[in-house]
Parts: sequence; C-alpha cells; structure tokens
Amino acid sequence: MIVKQPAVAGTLESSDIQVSIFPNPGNGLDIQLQSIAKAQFGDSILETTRAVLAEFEITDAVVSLVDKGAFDWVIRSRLQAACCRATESKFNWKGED
Amino acid sequence: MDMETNLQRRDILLTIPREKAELLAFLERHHLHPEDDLTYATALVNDEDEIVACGASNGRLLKCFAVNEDLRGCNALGRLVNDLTTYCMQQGCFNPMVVTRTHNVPLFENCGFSCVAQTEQVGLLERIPGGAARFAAAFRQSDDAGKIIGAIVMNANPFTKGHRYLVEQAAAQCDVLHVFVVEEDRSVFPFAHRLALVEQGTSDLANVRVHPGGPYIISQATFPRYFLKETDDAAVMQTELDAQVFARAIAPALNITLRFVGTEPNCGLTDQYNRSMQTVLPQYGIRLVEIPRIESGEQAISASRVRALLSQGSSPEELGELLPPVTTEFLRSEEGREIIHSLRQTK
Repeated sequence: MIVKQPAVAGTLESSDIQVSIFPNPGNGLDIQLQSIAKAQFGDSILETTRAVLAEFEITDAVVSLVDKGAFDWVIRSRLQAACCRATESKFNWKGED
Repeated sequence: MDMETNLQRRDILLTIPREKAELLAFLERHHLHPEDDLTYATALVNDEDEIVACGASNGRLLKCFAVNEDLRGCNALGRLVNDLTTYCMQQGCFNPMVVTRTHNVPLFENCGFSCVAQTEQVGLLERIPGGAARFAAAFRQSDDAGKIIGAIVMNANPFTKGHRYLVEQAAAQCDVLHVFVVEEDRSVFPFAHRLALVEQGTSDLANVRVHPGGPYIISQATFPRYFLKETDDAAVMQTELDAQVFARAIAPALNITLRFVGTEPNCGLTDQYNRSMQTVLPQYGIRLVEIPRIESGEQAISASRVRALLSQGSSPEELGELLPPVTTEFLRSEEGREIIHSLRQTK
C-alpha cells in the first residue's frame, strides 16, 4: 500500500511507543529507532516493525520509532494504527489470528 | 510512586492575561525570556494547579521548554513534546522543529527528534529523520553527476538588479546554480511574490534553478532567543547554525561545492553571515565566493535601499536603475501598489 500522508500513533509516555510514518516515494524503507532498551530489544522491535510493514505491503516510507519500553503487542498495535492512518485504510479485523 | 503520574497536563490559554502571566512568571524563574510570538503553550501542573513544567510553540518551532529541577529524569519533557507535536500535526505541520543549546540536543533526541546540525553552542532538530537531506535531494536531477554545483540563498525583498547581477556572476562560474529563496513570511514582500520575481527575473539563465528555502534557513526571525544569556552573541550563534545546516544537510544532498554571497559593506548582520560561512563552509569542502555588489550612484544596490526609497515616496519607475523590469512591473500591479502603500504607512 502507498503511504498517502504522514501519520502518528502512540505517545512518548512510559511503556508506550510513538510510531510516525512519512511518505518516501521511490526511496524504500528508512526505519529510525530510538529506544531506552535498544541494546536488549532493538532487533526485536525492528523485526516487528518490518513484519507489520510487510503485512500492509508498505515498501516506501520513513518510519520513526520512539520507544519508551513498550511490550511487543503494544508496538505491533501502534504500528498497525499508524499504517492504517498513513495508507487511509481500515484495519482488517478478520485477518487477526 | 513515580512523580510524573501525579501531574496533570493543562493548556495555557495565551489569550487570557492571567494565564499568560503565570507562564511568563514560570519561565522567568527559569531565567528564560520568551519573545512575544507564542501561539500555543502547554504545561504540567501539580496538585495545587501550579505549573511545574512547560513548553510552547510558534508555527513549526517548539520553544520555551522549562522543567522544575525535582522533575528532571521523569520524562516530563516527553509529555510536553508529545502534546506540542500533536498540536503541530493537527495544524498541518508534520515536521516541527526545535532550536536548543547543544547540551540539550540528546534530551530532544529521546523525544523522537533528529539533529539536523549543531554548533558548539546551539543545535537544530526536526521531527522527520533526515528531512533536510530529503528536502534538498528533491532538487537533484539525474544528470547532475560530475558537474560544478553552486548555491545562493536570498530573501529578495524585493528582487533587485543587485540580486540579478549576483546570480549572473555566480551562474557563469558553475554548471548548475541553485537559488534558495527564504520562505519564511516575515518580510514586506510575501514569499510567493519574492519567489515568483526571482524565477521570472532569472528564467533566461538556463543553468539556474530557483527553489523555496524550506524551513532550513535559520534567519534572524526564526532563531529563538528565549534561552540566550546577556553574554551570548545571538547573531554569531544564529549565523553559525545556519551555515552548519547548509553545510551538513543541504549541500551534501546536492553536491554543492560553491556558495556565493554578495559583499556586505553596509549591513552588520549580513557581514556576520559571511564571516560565519567563511569559518564553517571550508571545513566541509565548500568554497565561499564573495562577489562585489554593483553600485548605482556610488551606493551598493540593495533591497533595503529600494524599500527605503519606496517608503520615502519614490515611484517604481524612478527606481529603474535599481530594479529589473519584472520587479518594476510587479510594483505597478495592484498587489505591488498595496505593498508600497503599507511600506509608506509603517514608515
């Protein structure tokens, strides 16, 4: 899907993650992560991010992640919300396992 | 229990004198002296409804952050930045920015901002990672490789024969010349007209590309002063930061190796700009080329001279020595006449 507009989900409060997605037409994925737990969980956060972007078939975007110690399912939810807003699409509830 | 959870967020309504005074008093206690251009402010308050942390904004610029000593380390800044960023985005600005002292840059990086460039004293941060480079890269063309590429930044308030001469001289020294027009709208001539006049006035020069300057020109008007001490030289801090932003973020994206400026005999601030660029740019492999201004009647042609003459009652036709035909023509239009009128009013 195409990133039609910049979109944000989440906050900078403790145990949350703020996900921002910006258009980046033709220039691939540029993922920037800041995390208070980058050393321990940086790879896992990036893996989740790439997985959710792949689910939405987003191939061109600047993604900024500011993690304040969120659990993986919080990260996933914030990413899904940001992707829906950025692509102006509705969330596919039937696709959830 | 964690202190931050006790705090409530409260918007400071700047239109209500009592609330504004409360904010200013809080900033005063933190030795901050805000310029009078805040459009939105937010705070964290304690159980007694007293401000314990605050932040504000003007357009895309977030500023006037202050957090009480005993709250530091509780992510109070994160809550303020979160709120201000959300407000900016609701207003349609997706890339808010912060200018702050260099030792505070990491605090804002922890709130999702990326540093565009910094000097020993101050730094510029933006919300979109790599936004400056991406902004500049949009002006790149596929056959630019291997060419000699130069740049000029001008306000063109309004476009004069002096600007035209500078562009001609610079364009003759490079294969591609990028002309950035200061986008911020705090000049007598609105940005759209300034840009259009530069475009029209240089359209015959094939290797000249005219662009909006975007938010990446740190002008005197953009540079916040609220955190300055009396001993700080604002002009040096501002001009060095501007030079750093150009050298670190804009020039590399376009392979710019030459920056052209007019010599500045009359204006101290522009002279400071040129000196700051002379200090900063060569460190990044960019050469600063000063081009002597052309004169008319033994005085350098400048936009400020044009504005002064217009406000003193000169007609556009009388300024034929100073103005290219496009600008004279614009000044004769209805919009042009309105600008001359306002110049004479504010004189």
